[in-house]
Formats: sequence, structure tokens, C-alpha cells
Amino acid sequence: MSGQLFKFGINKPKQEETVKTITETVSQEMTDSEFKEFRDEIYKLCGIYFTESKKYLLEGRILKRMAANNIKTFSEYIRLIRNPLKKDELDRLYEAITINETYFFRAPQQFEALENIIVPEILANKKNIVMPTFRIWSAACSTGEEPYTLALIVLESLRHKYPNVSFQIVGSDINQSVLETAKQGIYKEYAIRNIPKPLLSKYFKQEGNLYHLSNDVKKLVKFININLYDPNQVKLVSQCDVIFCANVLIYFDLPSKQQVVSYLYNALNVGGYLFIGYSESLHGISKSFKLVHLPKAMAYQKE
Amino acid sequence: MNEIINKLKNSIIAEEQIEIINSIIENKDFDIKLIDILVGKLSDPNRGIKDAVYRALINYPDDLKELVANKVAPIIEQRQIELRNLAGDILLKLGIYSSKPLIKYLKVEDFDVRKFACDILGLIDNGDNVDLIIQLFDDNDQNVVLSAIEAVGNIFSRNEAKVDKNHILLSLFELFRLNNDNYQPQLIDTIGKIGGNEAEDFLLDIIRNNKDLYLKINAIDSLATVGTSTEICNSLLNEMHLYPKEIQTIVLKTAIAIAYRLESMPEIPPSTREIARKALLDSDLNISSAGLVALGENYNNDDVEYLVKFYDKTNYDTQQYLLFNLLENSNNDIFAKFIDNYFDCRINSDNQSQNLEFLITLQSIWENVSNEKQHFALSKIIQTIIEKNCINKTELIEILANFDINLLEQVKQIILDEKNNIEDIDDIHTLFNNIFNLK
Amino acid sequence: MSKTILVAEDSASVRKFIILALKLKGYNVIAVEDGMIALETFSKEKIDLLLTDLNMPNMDGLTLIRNIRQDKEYSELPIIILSSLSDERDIKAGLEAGANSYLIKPFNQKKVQYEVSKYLE
Repeated sequence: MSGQLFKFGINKPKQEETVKTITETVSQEMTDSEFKEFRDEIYKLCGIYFTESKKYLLEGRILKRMAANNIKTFSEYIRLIRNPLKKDELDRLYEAITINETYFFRAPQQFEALENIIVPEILANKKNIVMPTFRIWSAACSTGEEPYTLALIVLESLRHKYPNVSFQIVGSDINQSVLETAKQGIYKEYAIRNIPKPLLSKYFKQEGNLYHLSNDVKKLVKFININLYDPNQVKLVSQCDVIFCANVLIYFDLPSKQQVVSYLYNALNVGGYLFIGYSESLHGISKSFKLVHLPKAMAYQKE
Repeated sequence: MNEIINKLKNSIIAEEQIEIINSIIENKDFDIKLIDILVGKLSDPNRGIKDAVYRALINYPDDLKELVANKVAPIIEQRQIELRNLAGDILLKLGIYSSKPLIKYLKVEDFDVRKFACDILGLIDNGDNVDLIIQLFDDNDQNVVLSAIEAVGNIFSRNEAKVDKNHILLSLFELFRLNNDNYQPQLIDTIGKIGGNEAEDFLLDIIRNNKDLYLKINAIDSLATVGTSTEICNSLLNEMHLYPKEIQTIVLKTAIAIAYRLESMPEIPPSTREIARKALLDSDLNISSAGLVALGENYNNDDVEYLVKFYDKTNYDTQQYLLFNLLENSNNDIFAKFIDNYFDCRINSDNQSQNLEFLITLQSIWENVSNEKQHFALSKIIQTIIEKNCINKTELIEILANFDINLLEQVKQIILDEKNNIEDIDDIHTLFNNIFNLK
Repeated sequence: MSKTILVAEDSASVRKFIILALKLKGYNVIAVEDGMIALETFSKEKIDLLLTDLNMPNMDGLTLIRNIRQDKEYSELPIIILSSLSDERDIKAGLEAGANSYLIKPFNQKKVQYEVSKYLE
């Protein structure tokens, strides 16, 4: 910003008697150099970048993992995650540092655009193919709400309109344990709160306060463990017609964002679309896509 | 390296070329021999390739950047707008290394190219080439002249240019006297960016004596970085209501900027406070910050709704500042109202992670806050969050645990009391036990 | 309710001059630095008029205009080009892309105010 005129900060001195926080109680606060070490290691592994302001967050999450492993020092823990034989712990760490907030029909405007504009457009270009496929990839799908939402849309409207099309839905995440949860297809109130009632009763069975997804829906989705920052893993999914990658890029820094988006570009068919989060933008990140302005939503097209 | 070059030259598949270039970037394989072929691919019709080449070229190591700039600069003479803009973007990102390569384009025949080169130089030059840019004040194309005036201002706003200020100011004052109303606003802007006593006098003269309201407003805006007297600050504050409504926030910005710089913040009357609130919602960072500064450290009831909207749009440091004032320097009911409004916006919306971030930011200033205020704040937050059901319970408890372990019993009790809203009493018990076991 | 004008212009100074000129006339102004951000803004705000430069990084003015005109909701949106490109071919291209008016730079506050008022008053 040209010539920022004001700078904000807090200048009240710390109190004499500080309140005990949990980190102090365990007499462990991450030093700046320890923070940097963790930050760089995590960045190398998966592209997620912890800014200075997120130090508290990272500290808390790491402490949890240390407690779970009965480890007393940060250096011991970082050795643990660097150990190639300890993939399990790495997975737990990924689970701890990613925010897995998701629910069904989180982006209704995007799904509407998909159903009414994008699918018809792409399939029109495939009409010379006898049994065309339509592949949708939900990247960073966490516990599966997004890919299952897509499956609901396919089952409820797209299948009837396009009976000879094979709709394929892939859900991926860096974290294996959330994928295991996704495969179960069992959800609580919070996750299903946006589902239109008719769909809820048609495709879910309620047992107590849990909602079980029907097998028809579960069958439509394939789950794969993919680290988006690893080009070899990203290649596991290709020739996609649509990719959803919402609320993931915000955890990366600019170079890692650019990398991941470039991999996603390569994973798309020509004419395919990329959806990112409603409040996100590829501005400054990628010049490869054509920005397409849809009613109430925006998407990026590979030309 | 030769293998990579051959692969790039021979591949006809876009994705393959993109992959090759991506691995060049990831492995930092920036070789001098690659530059020509990469620059050549800037005109590839495939946008994915263009994007990859762009990222590769701007990431070249410093010792090769000028070479890259030399190869890219000629592209600004091409007619195709998109390609020209892409080249301009690269030259911009290469920064100071693009200066020497661009200079010769200040003298070409095509006035569009002269202007384009001048624009970029204005944004990257360190002052070494100001003399060459000033020569364009005599250009026969008005847009080139304007570009040169703007470029000089941009260069000065980034560094104290090595050329004598007064010499340039005199040229600019003279241009102003020509009364070409195409030039006036840009001249005012640049003179303001150069700064100094003469510049300040020039701006004050326009503000006090010029009949053209538009020029007055431009001068007021520019005075923000140059003004040095409380007198002008006070008169702006007193006369604010005389300006058109939409312009008042700009007048406020300048008055507050001067006061802030002089470290003498005046009392803001209630009518001005209203303008400050409006300023909070402006998309211009300086205007919204001025609004915040003008509101002081003790917020009142009418401020809250604006502070809530402002909070989400601003950066971390400002958020900390705001929260601290709300907590420590404002009345309890003001803080309570803020919390009610803030979480109200978030029921059923997509903002779980934003709620968590709010708590984390609060935690970062926690130790600066007095004990009584801490107790009040924590109870209010827990109560509100549970009432509005807007944070995942496990996340909430984990973060609250970090605030104050002594309050944990209180937290536990409040949560258990709200049994109707909680799905997993068992989970919560387990979680609490785990937290306590960490001791 | 005051009308909202979206301004797409990559020079920060010119952006400022346009904002001041339009605010003086009571308009609400959103100013962005390139066509891509401008297009994204259309999804988030109600826009009553677009004032755009042609030479901008990330998405130039012509592409922006074409994209906007593709949307039924904005087929009637007043679009004014403000550009230093004065070649006849550029003017023709601009109007063919869907612009209603073409103003040649240098920016002149009275000309811009007048042109905008033609569409919004």
C-alpha cells in the first residue's frame, strides 16, 4: 500500500502477575527458533505456511501431539516426524494442523452453477463420445461432506438428465484418518444442517443423533490420500472436468499456492473448471485460467 | 540442463511443458541458457504455459535478473495488449534490475511505449534515472508528460531521490502555472509525494485560496503525508462539515494523519465521530485507519456495529489493537455488545475458522489485559458462543484451555449447564481430563 | 440510494483522481487495479456503471468488457472506457466489445463527471 500513514500496536506493558496458561504450566513455550524449525519442516512437507501470528496455534497443536506420544521436548518431536518410518504420526500431525471444517451443501451457488451451466456445457462438447465420463475432484475433502454433496446432486438430478454419462467423483485429503471417517459416511447434526429436507430423508437414515448415508451415495465416491504439494501424488488424479478446492489455499504462502494451482491446472481437461472458496481469488496466484463470471458464483476455466 | 532445454523445445504437449517448467522452479534450476527459450514461450497461446514461464522468469536469481529483463523489455513494443501487459508485469516483478533495460524505451517514437516504460520505471527505479524521466516533462504527448510527473512522485514516495528536490519542484510549480487542468491533479499528487516545506506551502495555498473545489480536495488529500502544523489539522477538523459528505472522510484522513505524525491527537467532537465511523468502512486503508485512530481508545455504543464490520477487513496488528481497546479501555457493556454482534454475523455461515481465529487473536493480547477484565471477557465469550452455537465444542475447549487454566472449572461448568446444546457430553469429559492430565 | 461505480485502472494516482471526481458528485466508488479483480467484484457488489482502462495487468479492459456483456444481468450496464490508447482501431475494438463510450486520456475530471452523469442521472 502506498505510504501507510498509521501503524497499530499495543503499548501497555505486561502485567506483573501473569495468569498461568496451559503452556506455562507444562513449562513449555515454543521458542522462536523452534517455531521456525517446525514452520519450515511443515512447509517442506505439505506447503502449509504458519505465519508469526499463528505461532500460538501451532504451539498448542504440537503440544497435544507431544502429550499423545509422551514426548517432553520439541526437538524430540521434530525428530519423530522427520522419521520416514513414522508415517502414522505425520498423519496425526496433519490432522492436528489442518482445520477440518466442512459440511454438506457448503457452497450452494457453486453447486447450482455446476448443475445448470457447467455440466451441460462440458457434456455438450462430449456428445460425440458414446459413453462419456464426467469426473469431479474434491481436493482436500476432509471428512467427505463435499464429495458426497456432489454425489447427491448427481443422483438426484444429473443421472436422469444424462443417463449414458458415467459420473465419477474423487475425494482426496492429505490426512488419511479423515478419509477413513469419510468412507464411513456417518454424520452429525452440524454436518447435515444445510441439506434440503427431501434429500435428507431420501438418502440418509437417522439413528439417534447420527445420520447414515445410503450406500448408493457412498458407492459414487472414491477416496484417495493425496498431498497437494507433492506433484507425484497429485498426478494420481487426472483428466478432471471440474475440481473443487475450497478453503485450502488460504493455508499456503504464495509460492506454494502457485505450485498447487499449477498442478490442479494440469489435472484438468481443456474446458474444465476450477472452483475455489467463495471469498478466495486466484488473483496474483495464477494467470493460466480464464475467470468466468457465473450467476452468484465465480469459476476458473482452463481454455 | 541441455536435456531439459531439448525436452522443452520438442514437447508439443502443454501439460508436459508446464511440468518441466514447474520442476525448474521447484529445483531452482535457473540456468542462463534457459532464458531465451522461456522468453520465447511468453507468446505461446496456451495460458498455462504463459503462467509457468512468468513464474519461472520472475524467480530467477538476482545475478541473472538484469539479463532476463533485457530479454523481456523488447516485448513492450509489441501491439498485442495482453502480451505487453505480461511483459510489463514481469519487468515490474524483477524490480530495480529492469531499470537499465527500460531506459532506452523512454526515447522511442511510439508514445504509448514511452508512456508504458515510464510507468514501470516510476514503480521500480531508485532515483538513479530521475533526470531522464524529468526530460519527458517536455514531451509532445500529454500522456507521456503525465506519466513522467506520476513516475517522479512514485520514485520519491519510495526513496529520497538523489536529485535535488528544489530543482524538480520548480519545474512542477511552473507546469502548474500553465493551468492545464489535465495536469493539475497529477502535479498536486507528485508535489505532495516529494514533500518538504515548499511542497507544503504550495498545497496550503491551494487549500486556502484556490476556488476549484476539486483541486482543493486533491491538495487536502496530498497534505496527509506533508502537513506539519496543528493549525491546519485543527482548521480541517473544524471545517469538515463544510465539505461534501462523501469527501469528509478524506478530510478526516488528512487531519488525523497530521495529528498522528505530530503525536498530538485532538479531542474529536461527536459530529466528527460519525464521520470517523463511516471512514472505518472505506476500502482505502489509510482512510479506515484514520477512522480508527480518530475514535480513540474508548469506544462507545454507536461505534460497535462499525467496529464489527471493520474487524474482519483489517490486518492482525490492527485487530489486536482494536480488541485491546475494547477489552481494557472501553466499558464492559461495549465489549459485550461487540461480542454479541460479532458472533451474530456468524450463525449458520461459513466462518467457524474465522471464529477460532478471533479467539486466537484475543489470546495473543490476553496477558496485557487486567485480571477483572479477563474474567468478564471470558465468561461473556463462552456464554455467547454456546448460545449462538457457532464454534465446534472441542476446538473451543482446547483454545479456552490456553487462556487460563484456573478458569477451566468455570468453563466446564458453563458448558455442562448448557446440556441441550451439547451433543457429546462424554467427549467433553474426556477432553477435559486429557487437558488436566497434561499438568 | 447513491449509485455505485466500479473503476478499473492500474495507475494508483489516476485511480485516486477518478475516485475524488466521482465522490464529489455523490457516487459510491469501488476502485480496483485490474480487470480480474473488477470481474470478481461484480459477483459481490451491485454495480451501476463500469469505468475501465484498457491496459491493465492480469486481465485487460477488453476482456473484462466482453466477460461482463456475456452476463444477461449486465447487458444494459453502462460501460465507459478511459484509455490513453487513441488509435482508431483501439476505439473501434472497445466499442465493439460492448462499451458505451470511449474517453481518451489524459483524465479530465469534468469530462469524466459529465460522461458518467449521462448514464446515471
